[in-house]
Amino acid sequence: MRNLTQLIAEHFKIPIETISDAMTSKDVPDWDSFNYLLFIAELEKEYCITLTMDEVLRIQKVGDIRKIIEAKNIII
Amino acid sequence: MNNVSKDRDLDSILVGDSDEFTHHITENDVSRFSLISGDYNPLHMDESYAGGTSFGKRVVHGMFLGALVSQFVGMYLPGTKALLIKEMIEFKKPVNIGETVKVKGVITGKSTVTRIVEIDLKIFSNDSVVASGYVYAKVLD
Repeated sequence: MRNLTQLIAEHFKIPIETISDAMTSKDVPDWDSFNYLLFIAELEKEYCITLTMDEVLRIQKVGDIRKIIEAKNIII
Repeated sequence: MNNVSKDRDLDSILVGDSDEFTHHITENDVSRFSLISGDYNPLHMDESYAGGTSFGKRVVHGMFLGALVSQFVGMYLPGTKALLIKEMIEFKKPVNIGETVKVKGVITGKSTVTRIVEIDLKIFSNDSVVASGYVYAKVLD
């Protein structure tokens, strides 16, 4: 299982060292609407979780993703 | 092929579901694809040129197989409600005019919240894989 930073780096094609919990969609050129949906689908498959619409809408930055996943008792 | 797409709701699509169809590739297919794509490369269009290459005869455009993947998604699985978002296809063997190919796809992932399904695809000719890849498609409401 890839950790969250690896997953983000590979999906959005950005250097792993540039990723922080404060990073938002504005910091990632490839974070467009379709690619974001694909990322959520990949996230669910990678960690065998199901996100709700409320959780998806709550995501504003990388740290939000981390909190949501960790709340499901997944160690990333 | 008829022109009526299958109509699957997201709820009815499960991981492991599959579908397939066959298509006999004709000279007309290659001519029409050249016209649509603007790709008149002699490897596809010129028998004497292609005969002088290591392939020995004209090769069907790889993206014609990609177009068959579009047919799979739009007409078979998910069908009517499909919106193709991402397609990755790898061409493994050349395909020639006159071959019959089978396009087979299997649902390998489903995200309810995004309404996206992941489909693994293989294209066969004579039981040999000539292309493979995956697509992500959104299943509209």
